[in-house]
Amino acid sequence: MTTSKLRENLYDVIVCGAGHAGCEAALAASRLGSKTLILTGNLDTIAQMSCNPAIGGQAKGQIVREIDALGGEMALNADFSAIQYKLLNTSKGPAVQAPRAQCDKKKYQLRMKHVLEQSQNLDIFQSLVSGLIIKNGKCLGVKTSLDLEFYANSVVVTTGTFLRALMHVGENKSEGGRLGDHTAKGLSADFLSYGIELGRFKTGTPPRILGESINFDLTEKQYGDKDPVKFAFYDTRTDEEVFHVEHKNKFHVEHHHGKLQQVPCEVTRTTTDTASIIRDNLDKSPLYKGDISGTGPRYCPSIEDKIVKFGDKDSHRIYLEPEGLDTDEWYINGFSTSLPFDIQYKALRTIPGLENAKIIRPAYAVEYDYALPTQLSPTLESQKIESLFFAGQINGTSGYEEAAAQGLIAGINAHAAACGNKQLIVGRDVGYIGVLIDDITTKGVTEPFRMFTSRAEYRLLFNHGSSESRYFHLTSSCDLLSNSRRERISSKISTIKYWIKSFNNNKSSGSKTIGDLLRSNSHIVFPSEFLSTSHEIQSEVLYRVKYEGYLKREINNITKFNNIDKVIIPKSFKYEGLPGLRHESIEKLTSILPLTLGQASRIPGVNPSDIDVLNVMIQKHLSQ
Amino acid sequence: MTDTIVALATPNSESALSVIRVSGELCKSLAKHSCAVPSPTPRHAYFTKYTSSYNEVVDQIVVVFFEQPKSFTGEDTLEITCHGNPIIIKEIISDLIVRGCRMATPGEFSYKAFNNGKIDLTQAEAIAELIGAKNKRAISLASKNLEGKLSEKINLIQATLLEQQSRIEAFIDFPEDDLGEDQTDKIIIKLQSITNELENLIGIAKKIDAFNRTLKVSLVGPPNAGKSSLFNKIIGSDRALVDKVEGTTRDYIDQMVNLGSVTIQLHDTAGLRDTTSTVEKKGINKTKELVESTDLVLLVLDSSAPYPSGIESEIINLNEANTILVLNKSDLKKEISLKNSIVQKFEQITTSVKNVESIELLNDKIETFLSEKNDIYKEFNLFVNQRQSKAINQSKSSVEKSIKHLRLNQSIEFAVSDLKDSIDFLGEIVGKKDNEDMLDTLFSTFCIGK
Repeated sequence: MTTSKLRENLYDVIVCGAGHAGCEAALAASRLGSKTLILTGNLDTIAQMSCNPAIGGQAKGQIVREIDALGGEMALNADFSAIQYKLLNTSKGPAVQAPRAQCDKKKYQLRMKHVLEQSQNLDIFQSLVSGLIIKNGKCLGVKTSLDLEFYANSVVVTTGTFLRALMHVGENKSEGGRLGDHTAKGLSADFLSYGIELGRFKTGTPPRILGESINFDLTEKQYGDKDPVKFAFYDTRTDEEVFHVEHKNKFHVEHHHGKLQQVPCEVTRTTTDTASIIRDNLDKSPLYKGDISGTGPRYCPSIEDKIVKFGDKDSHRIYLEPEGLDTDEWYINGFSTSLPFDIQYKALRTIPGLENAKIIRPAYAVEYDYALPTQLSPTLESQKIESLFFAGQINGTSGYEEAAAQGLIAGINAHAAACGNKQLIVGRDVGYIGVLIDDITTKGVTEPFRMFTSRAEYRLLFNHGSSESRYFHLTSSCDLLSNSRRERISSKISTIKYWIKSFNNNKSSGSKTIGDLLRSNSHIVFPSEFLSTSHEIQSEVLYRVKYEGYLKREINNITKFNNIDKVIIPKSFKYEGLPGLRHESIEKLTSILPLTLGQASRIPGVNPSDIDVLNVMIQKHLSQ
Repeated sequence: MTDTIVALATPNSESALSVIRVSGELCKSLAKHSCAVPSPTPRHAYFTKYTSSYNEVVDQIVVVFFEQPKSFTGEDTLEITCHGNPIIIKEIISDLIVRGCRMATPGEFSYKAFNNGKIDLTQAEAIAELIGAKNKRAISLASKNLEGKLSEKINLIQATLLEQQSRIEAFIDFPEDDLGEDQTDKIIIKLQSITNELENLIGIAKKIDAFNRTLKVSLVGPPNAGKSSLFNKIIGSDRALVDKVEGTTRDYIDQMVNLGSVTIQLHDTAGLRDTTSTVEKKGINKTKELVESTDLVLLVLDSSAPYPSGIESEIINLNEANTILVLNKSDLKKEISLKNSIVQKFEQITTSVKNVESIELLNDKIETFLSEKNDIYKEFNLFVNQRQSKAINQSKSSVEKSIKHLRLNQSIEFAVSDLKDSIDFLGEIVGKKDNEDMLDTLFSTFCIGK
């Protein structure tokens, strides 16, 4: 029996998966007006934080604020479930400061689920996607586990680590993308049959223990900031917009804007005993035995990797993070492992404060298939199958924030594709979201991809506070912001510009401008009008004025970059047989299909001389 | 498909043998059809015949096939050794073009090698330096660069810079990780030692540049001392006008001469004396300018005449460190007396244009004098040209800026901007290092995983 009689099964956009990418994609598409369906294997794991109970951190915190500037939900959701805030890198400059929050995992999930439930144009349905419906190179919809079929103009795949997922605890292997969860079995084969190339990665998660069993006398407390820097921008939102879900349904709002009860994290260290237990049992680690073939992330090594590769360090720092206010479950940050359970247990108990630790969820490693992101265009649409979008961990990235950012862009573009509008491409010069998508679609991934500030060549311009200014020009075409918020952002930008100009041009004392005084760290009496502007505006103005020289250099570099990025490579352009191009370059260019000359220049293995040749050939092609 | 290029690798003149080089995809088929070697074993010499497309045998040749990537250019390559007759050369090359090759542009073989990653830019430049080297030492230095000595050095410096950058990046991107206490001082020390190394390389470039201009040797002296005759003897031809009338050489003339290990530019000058002739006066003034910029002055006096009067005021400015006194016309009776004259302080040599041996001795003396004095190459084992030196200089000032940032304890992300610049500038010499290189360094150095 088909379902068409049971439910309305024709949509503008279908999103497969309700993790961090899926939620943003579904919300973006439905808010933009697409009739949207979000499918999940398990309604209880919507927006689940499968690993650490925190949002933000270096580069990621900036991404969350950028998501907020574009009209995504992650920032508000994190703010509503935060139980500790910390601004990282406060001793360094604004460009590399990053907000982070420990979040109550369950609260985070439930609020996001509630947001989905309350969204207009959005249907939620629990059903495992088992395959795509493809005709003539175009994706028409999806099949699900109950033999249901759903049709849509565009489909977004956000299935995370669930493709051919295999979990390892020592020699014990079980199928599943997360402890206690299923795996999406048929999808890998289905993708392969449509010519979508897959790779294999590995990631891991540490054990969770009961807080009651921690001896807090032996650990060091790490408190949150007194004056938290939050993710969402509140000076450009009305209360109605801030509490968009909460007001509508009296969803609990107690800690926002009021007094936030912050809880501390705890810090401890591994000992030489920890190291020797792990060393003695390396032969039982699937990672070292060769059972795991997928590549793991170097920036988040398992404890066995840390002990082996950095043997000269006799101790590694371990952070204990509470998973929520209504649970006593704690996350052991820095202790991810795939060792057998008894070894995990023994090794963990050598750590000060954890002598009596009770593991309530064991650590495990998970291997999964990802789809090579170089098969995507920077809109996140597949270059092989029309109307099919990919976002999140399926693209070989790691991290909730990286996933959400892609979900947002994929959702925006799935909507645009569904109504035949121009799709959105975020440039590398706009922010971390642009760098993220350009990096994975152009260079590809060799390990689970995490964002670092050092990946962004214009990092100095990407301070978190400037996200709204940087993304504003994009919000006119993808209208996720209310008119009132757009107006407020616009006037905020004008105010910032006004003060920058004023500080640089108007003499303050004698022959010096406030800008001169700022740059020479002199004492300054600011105009009272300036001091009455918002804190956000003030810090933005001071940063832009004080570091003007360095920022100008980056802006000049952007101008240079834009010149080459403006050269669009026509879809009809063929690389095969171009004289003066090396075989290697032709192969790479043909597989990546860059949209612009700039993107072509960033493909590894494509030389500056190839770009010169291409430039000439493109001009010739255009004049024909 | 890329073009197959062809060019003559040896001079286009009559000689025993000439080598024609071909690079590109057509090589295998050319070996088969033109050289009758259907499937050549790479790097084997085949003695065969070159047959044109009109089925005419052009010449007996030796052909060697190099299979990509194991060739100079990284592509399939043929080296055809034919007899060194310009007509044969022309016929073979024309036929290769008929068969689909294209004439190579200057430097295109090296360019292909560079493009295909067979050599880096310093090596490509070393090839040019090697071919154009003016003396034995320069040749040996250029070949050091061809082996990759300069690249090695620059790569090492780049790696050290990258390591410092990755240290700073680690502090920025992993602020809560366990990376040891403040390492700024250590980073500064490393960076300072790098600026010293860069400064040394710039120093090499300066010295080499000073030496690399052809050395100037000037013949000066009173009129009629036989300067022009000596000039002709040294260069081995009768270029300078020789006449007994004083003041024949009114302007100065010059000629490049190779004397064993050094190449010199030999200048003949107008005689030093008071003169009323304006043309000659101009010549004498020019002589004075020349002497100032000259590497070696040969002060020529006629030994068969009394010590000339009125030249003391001119030669008083000559430096004994770069002057040799040449007592010419030794075949005639010696009349000159050097007693109490200032020329006594100069090294002396006796010559006669009629005595070939004495001229050879003079040539030897010039060569020894110049090569000893200028043997700066002994100090170095690599070569830095002006383009490279400029990039090194830019890199150095970026490193200095970043040290300043670290010193002032300003936010360290600004120090990174400068360090990236410094790495990029060095990249102009050997090739670019990108972000992935930095991350590789970072992850291999630090245990990161909060």
